[in-house]
Amino acid sequence: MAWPTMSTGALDPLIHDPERLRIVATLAALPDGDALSATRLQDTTGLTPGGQITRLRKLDRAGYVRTEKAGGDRAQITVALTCDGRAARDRYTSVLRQLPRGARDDHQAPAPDVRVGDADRDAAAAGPG
Amino acid sequence: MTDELDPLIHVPTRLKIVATLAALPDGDSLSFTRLQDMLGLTPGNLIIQLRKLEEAGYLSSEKTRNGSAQKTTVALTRQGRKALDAYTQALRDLLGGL
Repeated sequence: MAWPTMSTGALDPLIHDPERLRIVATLAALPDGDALSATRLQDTTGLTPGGQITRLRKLDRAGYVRTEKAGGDRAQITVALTCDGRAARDRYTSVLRQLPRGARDDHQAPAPDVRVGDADRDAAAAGPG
Repeated sequence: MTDELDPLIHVPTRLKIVATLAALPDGDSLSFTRLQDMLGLTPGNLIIQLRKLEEAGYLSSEKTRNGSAQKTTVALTRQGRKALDAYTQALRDLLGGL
């Protein structure tokens, strides 16, 4: 039950920060290439405008998000995840997936050997007769 | 907006400790040295993180004396397990399943 692959540093600290994680997760849920207005993003993240700008700047500098000023009557900023940002988010979730099983499983969930038993039973049910 | 990510668990080192202890069968504990080996932490760092988690009631530690050697074992409490469940659920909500 050693933890060979996960070092503390493996959880990208840029994404692990709870507020930045919220931003990245929200943007990652958009269809690829889609952008969100900063105001809409704020509705989801619950951050203050200033707080959000600070985090976006950090993610922008890392190349994880792209912010653009959209035209129109009112200068509006749109935010999108870049390819790098999406890849970083994928890496982050795969590191989380390496957590020991007990951390992710619902305790009510059947243990793997129970599932084997189910398969046996199903096989028996489908057997001769 | 999803639930808050429990800051006590969110720190990577503590997340590793809690997740490792949660993977043990219910009621099992792990010795301090074994936990240290598994996570590759310095004794000092591990002690600090364990103390924080114990103060929050997330884990319990027990000292046993065997002759001159003292052994400390740690285990996740029911409250700690609950907190980790809530934490993983919040992460799942955020990241769309893990």
